[in-house]
Amino acid sequence: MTLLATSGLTKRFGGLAAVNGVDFSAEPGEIIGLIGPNGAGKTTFVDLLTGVQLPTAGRIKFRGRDVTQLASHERSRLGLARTFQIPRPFAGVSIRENVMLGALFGRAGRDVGMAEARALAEQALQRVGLAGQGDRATGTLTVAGRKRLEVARCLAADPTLLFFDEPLGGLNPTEVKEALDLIRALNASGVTIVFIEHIVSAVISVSHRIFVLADGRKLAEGTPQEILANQTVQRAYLGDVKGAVNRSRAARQRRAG
Amino acid sequence: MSTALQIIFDSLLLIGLYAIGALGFALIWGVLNVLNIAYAAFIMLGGYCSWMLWQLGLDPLLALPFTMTLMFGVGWLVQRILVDHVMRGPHALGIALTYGLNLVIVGLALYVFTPEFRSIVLPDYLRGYTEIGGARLTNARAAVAAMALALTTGTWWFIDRTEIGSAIRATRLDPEAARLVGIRVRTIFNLTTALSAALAGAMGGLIVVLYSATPAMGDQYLLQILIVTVLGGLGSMLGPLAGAAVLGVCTSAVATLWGATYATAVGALLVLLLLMVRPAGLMGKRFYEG
Amino acid sequence: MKVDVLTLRRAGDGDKRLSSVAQPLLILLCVAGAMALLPLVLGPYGLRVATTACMYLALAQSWNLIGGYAGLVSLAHPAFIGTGAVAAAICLINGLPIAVAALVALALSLSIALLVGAPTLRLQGHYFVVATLLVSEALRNFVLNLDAFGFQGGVSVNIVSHVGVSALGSEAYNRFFYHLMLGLAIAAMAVVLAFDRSRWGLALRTIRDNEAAAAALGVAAARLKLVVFLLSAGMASLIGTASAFWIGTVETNDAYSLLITFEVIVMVFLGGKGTLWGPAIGVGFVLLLNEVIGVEFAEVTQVVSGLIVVLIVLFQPEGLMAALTEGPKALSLRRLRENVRRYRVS
Repeated sequence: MTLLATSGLTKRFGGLAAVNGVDFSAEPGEIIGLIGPNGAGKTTFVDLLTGVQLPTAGRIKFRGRDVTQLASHERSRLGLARTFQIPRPFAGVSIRENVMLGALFGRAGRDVGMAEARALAEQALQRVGLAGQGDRATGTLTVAGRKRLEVARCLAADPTLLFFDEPLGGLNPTEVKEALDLIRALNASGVTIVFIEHIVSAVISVSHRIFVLADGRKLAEGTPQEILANQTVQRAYLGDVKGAVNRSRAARQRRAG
Repeated sequence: MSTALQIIFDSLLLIGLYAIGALGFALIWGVLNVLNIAYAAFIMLGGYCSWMLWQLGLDPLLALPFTMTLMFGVGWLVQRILVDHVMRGPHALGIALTYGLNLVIVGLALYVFTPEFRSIVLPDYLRGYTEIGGARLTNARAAVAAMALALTTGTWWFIDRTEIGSAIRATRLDPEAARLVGIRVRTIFNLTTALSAALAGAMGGLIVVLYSATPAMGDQYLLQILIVTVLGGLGSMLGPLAGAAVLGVCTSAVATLWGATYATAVGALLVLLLLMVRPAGLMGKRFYEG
Repeated sequence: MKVDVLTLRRAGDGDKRLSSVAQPLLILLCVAGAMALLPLVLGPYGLRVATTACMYLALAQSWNLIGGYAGLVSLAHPAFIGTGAVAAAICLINGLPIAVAALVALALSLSIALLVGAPTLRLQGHYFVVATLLVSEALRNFVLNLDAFGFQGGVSVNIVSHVGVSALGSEAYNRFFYHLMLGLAIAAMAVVLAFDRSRWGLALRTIRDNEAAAAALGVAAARLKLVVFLLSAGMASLIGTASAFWIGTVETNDAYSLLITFEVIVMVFLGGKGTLWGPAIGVGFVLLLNEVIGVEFAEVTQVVSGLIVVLIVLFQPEGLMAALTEGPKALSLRRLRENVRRYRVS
């Protein structure tokens, strides 16, 4: 069964449609890259999927169940989790307590006791490479560390589908590689992943499928290779490259001639 | 018809006073996002200042500009020395700080002036009244209404038509962005609180003309000012005027028709209902979050 | 163990704090036991002060839940304290037994809290503060004009004879109410302790930082805030009822007085909001100050109170509790200077 599917998902702000009639689907076990130029509506789209905002029109189905109007916290309990573009860890509590929150409140099914939550938090911290830092304050983390904390928080909630909102922003090349390895490892352990990203090479290297949004609409969908070759996508990102090249060639000829 | 007109005339006083008071209060709330409890103390200081100037022989209405100037300085100092230090903290700190400041100032006033009511003798030109359409409009009320209109217009002109005013507006919308375009945000904050205190002083100065000064006078009006500010909404100069008009007329009407005692409850309920439906107030701009 | 001053003073303790209820509970029980024996050494005046202290502590903890842990400056407290007092009084003068009166008042307060809680909790920042203030004032104005069930809002109601303990001698009377208030204070501390160590205490602390992220992790933020609001209101109501029984007369303006709530808020801020022991420290400090200054310099009490609030906000916004957990260096000149600069406009 398709894990997540949207049909005609739309979000309007006054006269502007940030997301306009988008049909999207994610199958279990996939890694889907969500790309598009700035202002394409990617974050709004994820907001709609995770319940941070409610759509103006359209439906969202998660595991066959209609979740369009469900509140954010209820979707988390069903297995949907997300990280935020600018990670803002909970500054008033320790790193481990940050992660415990996901374990205590976000898990589908049974309720977890405090002791068990602590153990689950420890496991999650280990998976993202923050083991042993549980007692520290969140202010001691670097940017990369904070992003890993975001992931650990989600992991403790045992998600089925995980949204990453620009996980690679602000990371150096080593950190990017580590982040991509983490994404692959998570996927291998059974988590379906949808991630928004601007670094096209990273998206190409890790995604099974790519979904392109522009101006709130779906522009293209397909495997990385198909998207790379897709002229409409190129134009959306780069403008009319061929046309620009031709015009500058003509201008140079006129100046020479 | 004349009852309705009388209600309106009776409410003119309150409308005028509250419009001025709420204008100043809304400025600090809107631009600095601070709920300035010490505003009550500013009103009180303005009242005593006018009273003392009157004691020195100055006509109470002429004393207003002097009072406002003094309070301008007081407001600037308060912002610079105290409120400046809690601007980036949780908003509860601002409330706590100004609450403490209010206690100090009112407490000192109690000590210095004692709770005794100080009043002035109404000058001759403010006594008397005119009859319009079967209702009586006292000169004093008319004067207050006129002052309120003048101050509101003046403040509106300053905020809307001058360069400094647009700097204030920009800071209100987005302090970070304002800083990036070169606006000295701290100075704007000082200026705004100073203006606000001047308006509070004006309100106090007018109150002492018609009623009397006592250390607790500001505290009494604070609740109504809160109501008017929220009713009118932040972000618009007309908001306080609109809010004052609505509250003033409603209070007068309720007092005339059912007795003054329920007026507070009605006013409060009115605002509560409004907040549920339209959190931005009657004329508030919705993009700004209190 | 590193302690990051700016973000979390007790980072190292974080974990232990979540699990161990035993230690503070033990301390609490010991203190309770010791305090229960106080009547043996205190005269009637001292006992009255102690009773007042317990009442304030219970109130402080009830406000601590909504104002400290949830971080919402609620000025609706007078509404619940007042309703607790007035509703119970009305029941008493109509012949109902005291237990029933207390429960009726509680039910009424909770209903009001439910009615106003859901819509006001949705309001942001200062609007919430103003809305709760309006609730209290509207209710006070309404009750002042009330004339029903033999109760007239404008008039003081004497309920001493109805409370049913007038048969006791004055010493036994004082002792009875001291133990009652002590019991309420200990119960309030226990409630906050349980809360502080529980997952909901943790959830509240995260909601304060970033409600959207907490919701994304499964925390039903709106519901949690409402529950805390109700809990806080219920506690306030019971204390209002108990105070009414103790004082013996109910006067509407005093019952719905904002001043008492402001005093309580100052105590919570002073001691350290959102902590277990903070309010206790705050209550102790303020009452001590009142005893020392209030008698000698009655006129300046207000000025001194205000000055303390200003100084605390500027130099030690975490409250005196911080000094206790970190030792005297929290009050060092350098730290004070840091604190005053922390929230400045840059």
